[in-house]
Amino acid sequence: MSENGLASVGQILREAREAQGITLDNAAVRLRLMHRQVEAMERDDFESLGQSVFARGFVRNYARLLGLAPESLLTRMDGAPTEPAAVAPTEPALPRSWLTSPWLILSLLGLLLAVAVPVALYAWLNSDGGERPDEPVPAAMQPRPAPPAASAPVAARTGVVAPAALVPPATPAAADGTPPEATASGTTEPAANGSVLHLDFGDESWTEIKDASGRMLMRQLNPAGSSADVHGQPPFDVVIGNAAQVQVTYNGRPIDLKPFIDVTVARFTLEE
Amino acid sequence: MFKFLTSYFSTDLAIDLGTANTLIYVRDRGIVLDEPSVVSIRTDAAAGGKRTVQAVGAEAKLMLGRTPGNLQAIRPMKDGVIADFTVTEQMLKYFIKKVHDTRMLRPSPRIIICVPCGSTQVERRAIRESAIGAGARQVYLIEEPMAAAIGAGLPVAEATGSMVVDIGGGTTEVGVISLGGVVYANSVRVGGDRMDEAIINYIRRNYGMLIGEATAEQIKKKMGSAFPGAEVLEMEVKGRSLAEGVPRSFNVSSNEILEALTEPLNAIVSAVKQALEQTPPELGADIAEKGMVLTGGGALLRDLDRLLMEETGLPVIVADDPLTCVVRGSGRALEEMDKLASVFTNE
Repeated sequence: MSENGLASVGQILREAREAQGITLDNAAVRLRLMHRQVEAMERDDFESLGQSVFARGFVRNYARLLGLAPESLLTRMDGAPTEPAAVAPTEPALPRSWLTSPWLILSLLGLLLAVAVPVALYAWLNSDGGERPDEPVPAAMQPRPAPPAASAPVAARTGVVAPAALVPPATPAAADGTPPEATASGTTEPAANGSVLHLDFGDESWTEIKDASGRMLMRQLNPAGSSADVHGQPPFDVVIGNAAQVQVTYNGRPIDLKPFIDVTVARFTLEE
Repeated sequence: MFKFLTSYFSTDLAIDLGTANTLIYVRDRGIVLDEPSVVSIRTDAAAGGKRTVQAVGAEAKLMLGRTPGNLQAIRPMKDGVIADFTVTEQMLKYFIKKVHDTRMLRPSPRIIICVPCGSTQVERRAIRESAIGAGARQVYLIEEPMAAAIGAGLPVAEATGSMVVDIGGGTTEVGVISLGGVVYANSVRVGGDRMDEAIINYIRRNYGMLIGEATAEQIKKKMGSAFPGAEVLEMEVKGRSLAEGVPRSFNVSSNEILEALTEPLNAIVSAVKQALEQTPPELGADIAEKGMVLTGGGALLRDLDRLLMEETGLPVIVADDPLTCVVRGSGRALEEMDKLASVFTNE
């Protein structure tokens, strides 16, 4: 007992037991353990006792039975407690490293957006600008309540600046939303480009239809009562003047133009 | 994208929402919060009876039983489950905020919460919903015996029976676990609180004195024991005399407290015995060899392991740091969330 500093846990236990005159069997009975388990402890063979929770528990119980301080024995087992139960302080102990700070990520993301959006806008305007470079955007913003709508966009397109001309803002058809019916059915292009757009004009209407490649399929003023079929490769970029008076069917399905009408002109993209 | 962002701003948490204490484990950081489950609420008469949270946790616990009329110290958890839904939500919100760095965005972490295995579906749903109300993005529930077993370091995943007895503030959970699943689990609504109550009742009956819960808890911690020991402790206690109506002090001995605790301790012993009866023999043999492991605050009651050892004839081990076993186990489940899917419980 005096050479505690050198003795192993098992040795200390055995010496204490022998000093008190307790037999191994007696100790096993009092600990509710098997003979071999107590023996294993005294041999420092903690592996055979199972997981460390059991080994430590048995040693603790044995030490208490012998009147020893369990903690000093437990710290001696395998050098240190196997499971550190450190309770960190309530304050967040580890300040996040500056580099992984969420604000850094967020600001980078913001910067990226700030750069990407104008670039994308510029690129898009340029790609579309070739078709109508002479669009008098600002002058044409005032809407007109009941215009001779059919002719108004024509004037605008051809570059004759009508002061109150109803010219769409430069927003694309996509901004108005693509027709849900059309998008729902997926975007795979039919190989045989069987897409047919049928239009019935109840009134005079300026109509512009472009196909997937940007080729103009129709760009004309349609007289009242006429109808037209347009064949081509979707998606179609469609502009219809005086849209309230126009019925459109796409591959046999009627399309409701109402959600796309801005004053009198409907702009939208037909996909599929 | 949005989910990714919110996950970046919040850390995953494991919470042991206990009757007595709430502990929070943060992924990669360990246990960061250990506070009493107490909320004190101020009712503002001037503002039309508006209730505001005055203090939460340790600060609120000091107020228990010492509050003036407009202040109320509430323990929102009772018997391991929610007794006051809104207050629990407020408390969780406070704790969740506390463990996050001060940020402008509201944290919305993924949370693992332990539930008593005997809790009903309604009680589980209440816990889940109050966590969601407190800002959780997703809530996983884990049964307390499983969490306690993982936390104590038992070989839960192996083909060997492990028995864990988790004595908490409100409930005692007994579980037999093998191969990552619960073979038998039972929960009795007896725990530290019931022991305090038993002490209060005993002192009222035998001394004609009234003491508060805090005093009873102090007595239990200082000289409560489950088995007659060699030494007899004495302690001076102050309470209100029922006959005279004035505060008086008197002495109680550990033997008396042992007597007072007989009833709750018997309930625990019979729950353990019942578990052993219901355990399949093969697993019972494993348990007989390695013994059962005690966790939870109740395991700190002196000689409780001795009592269970005498009563069952099996080895009984007190886990290292029994108070944090459940939250450490939940924390490990959190760290290995993907691998340990089977330990989570459904509603």
